[in-house]
Order: sequence, then structure tokens, then C-alpha cells
Amino acid sequence: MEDTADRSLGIEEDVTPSSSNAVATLGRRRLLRHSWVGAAAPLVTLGGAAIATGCEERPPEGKPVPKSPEGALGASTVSDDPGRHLVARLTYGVTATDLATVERDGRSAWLEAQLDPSGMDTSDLDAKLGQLPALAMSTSELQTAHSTGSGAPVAAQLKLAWFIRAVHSPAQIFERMVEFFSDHLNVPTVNRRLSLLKIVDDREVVRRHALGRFDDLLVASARSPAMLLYLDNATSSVRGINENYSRELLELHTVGRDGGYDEADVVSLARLLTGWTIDRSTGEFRFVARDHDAGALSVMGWQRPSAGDPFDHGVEFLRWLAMQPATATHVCTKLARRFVADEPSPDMVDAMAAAWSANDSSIAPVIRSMVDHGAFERSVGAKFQRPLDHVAAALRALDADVRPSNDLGQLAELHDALATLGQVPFEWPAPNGYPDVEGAWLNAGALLNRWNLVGDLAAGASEVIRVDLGAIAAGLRGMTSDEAVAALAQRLLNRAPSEMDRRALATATGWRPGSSPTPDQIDDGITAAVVTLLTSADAQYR
Amino acid sequence: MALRLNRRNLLKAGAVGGAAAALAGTLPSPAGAAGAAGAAGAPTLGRHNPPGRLVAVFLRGGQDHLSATVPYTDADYYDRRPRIAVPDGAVLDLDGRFGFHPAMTGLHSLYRDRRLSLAVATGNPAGDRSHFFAQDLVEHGDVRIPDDGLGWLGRHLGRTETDDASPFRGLTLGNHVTASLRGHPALGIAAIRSFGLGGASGATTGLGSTYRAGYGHDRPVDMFGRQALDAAEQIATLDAASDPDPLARGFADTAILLEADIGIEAVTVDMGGWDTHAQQGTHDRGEMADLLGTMDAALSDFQADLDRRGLVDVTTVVMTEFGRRVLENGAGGSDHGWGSAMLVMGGAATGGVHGEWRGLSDDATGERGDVPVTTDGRDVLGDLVVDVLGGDPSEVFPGHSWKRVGVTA
Repeated sequence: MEDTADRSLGIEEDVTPSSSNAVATLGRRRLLRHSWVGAAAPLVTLGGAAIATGCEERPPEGKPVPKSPEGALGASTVSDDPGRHLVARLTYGVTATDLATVERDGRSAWLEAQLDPSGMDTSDLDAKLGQLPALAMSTSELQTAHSTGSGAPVAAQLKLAWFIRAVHSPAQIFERMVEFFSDHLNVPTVNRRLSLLKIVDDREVVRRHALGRFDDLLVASARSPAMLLYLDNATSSVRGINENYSRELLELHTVGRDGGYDEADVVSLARLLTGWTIDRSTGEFRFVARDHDAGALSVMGWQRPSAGDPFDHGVEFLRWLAMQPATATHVCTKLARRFVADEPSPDMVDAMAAAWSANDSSIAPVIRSMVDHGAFERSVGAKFQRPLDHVAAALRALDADVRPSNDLGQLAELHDALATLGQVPFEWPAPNGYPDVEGAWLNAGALLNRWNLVGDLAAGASEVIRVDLGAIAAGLRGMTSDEAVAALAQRLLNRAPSEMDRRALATATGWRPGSSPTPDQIDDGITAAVVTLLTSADAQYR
Repeated sequence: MALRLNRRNLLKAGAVGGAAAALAGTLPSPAGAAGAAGAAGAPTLGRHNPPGRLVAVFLRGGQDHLSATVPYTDADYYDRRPRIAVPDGAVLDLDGRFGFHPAMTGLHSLYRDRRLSLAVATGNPAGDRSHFFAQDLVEHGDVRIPDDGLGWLGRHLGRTETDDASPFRGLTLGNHVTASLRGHPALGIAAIRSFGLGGASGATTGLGSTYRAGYGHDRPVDMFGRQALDAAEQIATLDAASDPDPLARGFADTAILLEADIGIEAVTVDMGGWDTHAQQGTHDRGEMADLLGTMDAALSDFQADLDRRGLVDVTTVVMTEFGRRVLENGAGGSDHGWGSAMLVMGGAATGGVHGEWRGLSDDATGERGDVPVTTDGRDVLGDLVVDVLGGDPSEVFPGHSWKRVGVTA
């Protein structure tokens, strides 16, 4: 059997993650005052190319992948139940509620409800988010709030909202797509001005279009003051163009490195987008004709019309670009990498791209085609969880409560803890977003950090993220050790315990097999039991 | 007592199908190294004993070397950079052609003591202007992404792997292992003080044996889990740096780790912030001056620390993914270029300025408008592979024929 590990080594997207306090910032302007910042700032490495579409070698189609990777002791480790798999992949973590819904209504119905979340009851979620006022503020309100120092820093509110939504929102697929496009059209909150603008970008650009059409999303992003500032298009003018945005627009946001453009196209596109800038007084988008290069040009074979509004020409080009097959393939490859496997099946990507092209770049049909493809079901247990995936899944399994805290000290502690794992929402400093393959995240130090963080959260060390193991422990009273272990494995890992789980828990808790632990013994051992299962090797995958 | 991780067995286990293949597509899995190097090459008997140890610093973002290593006698430099050029009266002279930016006093001292070598007009022949791609090319040591997908250090460590190798041969100071180490199961250590079981609550303190049993299979995740436990046990015995500035602490931890006898051969370190598209500032104020001052202090303090600890065998190399265009841009900054400069500090460094400088005329910079690459960066790294790592450049840089530059001996 061929060793696919070998061939995978040359075909990866960017595999170099960074911590929040990115040493390795490719920042425009002064992204960081120091090369390494922050209290617990780990050294960060950033590098690697976005070569998502540059695959020369692909794994053979139809290559058999075991449904459930078996542990050496014979017990199935990651459950291959299709309902669980669907929920695990498309949400932030399996809960009993989701499983029950899928069981009752079927996978299709569950998926369709998730793809149109407008009818969902979000009152509990809204109550929490309502305590983070920055989320709803306009640019000028944010400016005022920040300068008067009221409330938690706006960036902190945005990041906390990420957690609240990941753990508590019923619209899970929507939130996952918001995260996907936040990475894809990355604007980091690495300075005050970008943080303010990113809150607006998150609300008006990403959240507005995450389950809509990609062409609408792209145009909105190109007009977004956050993006205009971050990638310097705001200061690009006919008197001196700046290529930064036009380059990333082609390389990262749409057609990809091998998508059929050259350096001349980068320059022409930059010319086309001159004058797309930020109004000095309102902080909102403004097209300044005086700064615009209205001359003839062509980009990748697209010719600028000789008549019509020069601003409209830019919008027209962006829609044309969004519908290019290379864009569909590039973005669908990334989607498949996010939700299915590090090396997506080319056949699946083709099916997704076809759905894109047939539906004016609408995202929901693309997701349906992905889930319907055989490669989706065959990928059980294949995705290594990124740090935030892993933490969110643990919190959902524990029924944790993420509080809309305004306490700066508590928020800073949470921030620093996440920074050691290398992933804080909205803090990847480069335009390409957090990487999405196992090789970027898995190493010995990373595991150690995850074990410790999940341990801290389960032990109640965070005031912001409240975990109550008491309720879980109470539910185990009266059970034998075996029953208790099975109940915990079912709740936390959605499967029966393996032999290895049983042995590990016996060691960690002191609950002797064949006996019934007393309530005190259960209480004494519950943290170790929960942590052992949530930090197990299998819990690193979904 | 050095910890042992039986690499040969792990490499073989990883290469077999089953669970490992199901979870394949990952790096740095032992399967990758086996597929690329271990299986093909003859197993090396006995431990690899390099002449020295290497610290490889990567300046992320494309450092504007024309502001760091200033060609101050070149009129074209001043013509093309009316706003951002470093005045010739401000530079710290090196060899009558180049001078350091005034913020680089520490490195200038080292140069005068013949402990710092420079190579000018270096880079990757491919000349790509994308950060991501250019960084990858430098880290893979190739002009395209190579089929084996290995980093240059990963390739070297894989070729010189032995059965009783230390788990610390290659490591990154940081949570995420750099691409240059790809192919080698390298450790990422963010800080000595926080490396180990326990966290803030101590919830994981007692779980060492549980983890050892639970991460007991042959998948990459299991191997890394056991490596984490081994490493934690050993690092728990070391002092930890406590400087509040993370940059200073990172280099201080590096020195502590190098002094401890744990088998380190190569450490990678990153420093970011170099993508100065706008408002670089003047020679005495602004972003570039700050960046260079920070870099200078970090590197020269690190060398002083190494000297105090008597670590004469440690050589540091500093590189970036590309330099920046000769012509300044409209925003008081500079855009992505091509040729850059590399520094080699301490240890085996010979001193002096190396490489061929063709000047900055229109002929020299050509259509690209960049400093042309006249010395392949892999030649500079090749000197280090031979003189510090005890390796073979022809194995480390596939398809490249190494020519000695002379930055080390």
C-alpha cells in the first residue's frame, strides 16, 4: 500500500500557525510594537505558502480509509455513526441535544434547519451577547466607546463573543461558516484601529454573507474599511498604487496562486481598485474619484468597459472573479479541508465547485454537495482539531457556561491561556488565516499545552468559562465503576469506552473496577476522569 | 543521562498503513521522514556528533536589508530612496562599502571583533514575491516546493538520525514547529517555565502515567504525546528564564537549553514585524529603527549570554524570505523585493562581508528593480551545514550544487 503520508508532505496549504501574539507578523504597518508581545507570549513561527491549488500529486480516488481507526486493543475509538459524524464535523462539538434531533428528524432535516437558521430561537444567546455592547455599535460609536474607555476593550468583546457563539449558539453551521470566512478573508485585531473596524467587518461583511453568496461576500469585503486598511488599498491611488490588496485578493481570496494571473494582472487590479478608500470623518467606505485610475486596463483577460461608472467596473470585476472556476475550486478545496480532510478528495472538490458555479456562488448548495459526497462519510476521525475546535468541543460536552464578562483581568487570563495554544479568535496576523492541516498544529509541546488548558477549564480555573462538574458527578451516583465510565465516555466522547479508556480512568480516578464508588469518591475523582477523557488521543480528532 | 526515543522503530511503525495512513496527510509524521530519508539511506550507527550547534533566526515579513546593511557609498541608493535612505554620516561602517544602520551597535561590535559574517545579495533564485511562498522556499531549501515536503533542517536531521537520538535534536522556541524542521519530530517549546504537566490548576499534574498509557499506539498523535512527557520530565530539571519581555526571555531560554546537555543540534527562532510597506521612518525614528534596535539588542544580548555560559560551539544565522525593492514606494516604505542579506554570528563565523555586490544601477537591478541574488542563500546555509551541523549540503538541498561562501570555517 502506498504511503500517502509521503505524498501529502508536498501538498499543503499554509502550515505555519501563529499565536495571538504573533512574533511572525506579516503585518502591514505597525502590527505589533515588538516582535513578541504579551505576557505568556510564546515564540511564534509563521511561514509557509498558500499552495492550496498547487497540487500536482493527489491521493488516488477511492482509496480505502477505515471508518473507525481501531486502537491496538481492538475497541473502536472514534464512532462511525453517520449522525454523530455529521454533527461533529459541522458544529463546534457534539451535544446530546443535537444527537437527539438528528435521531428524531434525520440528518437531512437537521442540515436544512442549520442552513436556514433564521427561524431558530436565539433568545438565550442574544441575552448574553446583549451584554457586549460593542458588537452592535457603528464605527463612530466604537470610536467613542474606545476613546472613553467604557466597557471591556472592543477587541476583547469580539473574541469573547466568538466563544459564546461557538458554545451556545443553536446556529452552529452558520457560526462555523463565519469562522471559515473570517480565516479566508482574514483581518486581524492587532491594533486599535483594526479592532474597531473588524467589529464592523465581522457584523456587516462576514456574518451578513456567511451562508449567502460568495460574490456578495467578496464585494462587501473589498469595500470593508477593515480590509481596506489592513491590506493598504485605502492608501492606494492613481498617484501611487499599492499592490498589497490586489495581490492577496487574487492569491488568497479568489483564484489562488496558480489561478491564472501574473504580476501585470496584480498591477492592473490595483489600478482598478484605486479610490476605494475610507472616509476620514465617518470611517466608512467611500469611493474617491480623484484617487481613481480610470484608464483602460485588463485583468486576467477581463477588459474594463469603455463606458459606465468606474466604481461599478470594480464591482463587476469582483463578481466576475468570484464566478471563475479557479475561485470555486480554490475556496471549495479550503472548505473541504476545513470540514472533511486535510487532503480533500478531488472528486468531492469538483462536485462542490460545480454546485458553486450552478448556484451563483451560493454557499448552502456547496455544503450540501460536500455532505452528500461519499468522501464525507469516509472521513470519520480524520480531522485533527485546531485548538479552538478542541476547546469548544470540550466546553459543549461539559455543558459549560461562557459568561459575557467585562472583567479585564479575567479576560486577559483567558486570552493568555488561548495564546499558549496558538489560536485566539481574530489574532492570526497574516492575510491567509489560521492554517487547517494536522501538521501545522500537532507537536509534543502543543499536546502538553492542550492537556493543561483543558485541565484548567475542567477544574474551574476560569471565571469567564464556568464548568460545573458537580452536576456531572451527581449523575453518576449509585453506578458501578463500569457504568460510570461508560456514562462519561458516552457523554464526553459519544461512544462506548475502549479498554484503554477503562484502564486510564481506573488509574486516574481510583474507582476500582467491579465496585461502586461512593459519592465522595466520585466527587474526588470526577475532575481527573473528565480531563482524562477530554484530553485523550482520540479527543484530539473529530 | 540523555533521554532516548527509539526513532528507528517509530519511523518504521509510522510508515506502515492502517491507522497511521488513515490519519495521514500530516507533518511532521515519522512516516514522512521514513519515506523520504530513513528508508532510503543507510542507517547511521552511533550518535551523530556535529561540530557545533545552530540557531537559525528567521525574520518574517521580508526585512529591508538596504536599511540594515547600507551600501552607503552608492549614489544610486540615495537616488532611489530620497526619503528612507540611511544617511551616510549615520552608518556604522563595516568594510568601506557597507555600514550598519545606526541602531545596530551590538552587532557592529561583534563585526569589529570578527565574530560576525555578512553575506550580501543573497536569496532564493526563484525570486517569488509572495511572503508565504518565499518563506516556504527558503525553509524547504529549494526553488520549488519539493516532493519530499521536508524542511532543510528536517532533511539534515533525518539523514543523520540514529537509534539512540535525543528527542531534542531539533526544536523551535515557540509553540509551532517551523517548516524548516518539517520531516523531523521536532519539539516546540514556548518557554521553559511553562513547559510541563500541571497548568494553572494542577489538574494534569498527576496524569503522567495515564497519558503514557493513553497515548500508547503508533499514530503520530501518540508519538508526540509520549515525546511531550519525556521532554517535560527532562525540562523540569532546568532553570527557566524570567524576563518579562518575551523576546529576551525566548533567547534566554534558548541559551539555557543549549547549555543543558540534552542533545540539541538545531534551534529555530522567529522574529516578525518586518513587512514595512509604509512609514518606515527615518534613520533615528520610526518603525525600521525600532525593529533594527530590537533585533540588535536581542541578538547581541544572546551572544553575550552564550559567551558567559562558555557555549563557543553555537553559531547563529539570520535570514529573511526576501529583501525589499530598491526604489522606495509612495508611502514612505518599500515593497517586496528579492536579494537580501544574511548574518552569521558567533561560533564558527569568520567575519567579513561576503558575496558579490553589483550595485544598484538600472543594469544591476534590471526589470525587477530589485537587488539581484548573486549568492544562493543555500550556499550560505551549506557552509553552516558542513561547519556546524556536520552534514552534507548535497543531501540537505536537493538538486543544488553547494559552493562555499566562507561565512564560517
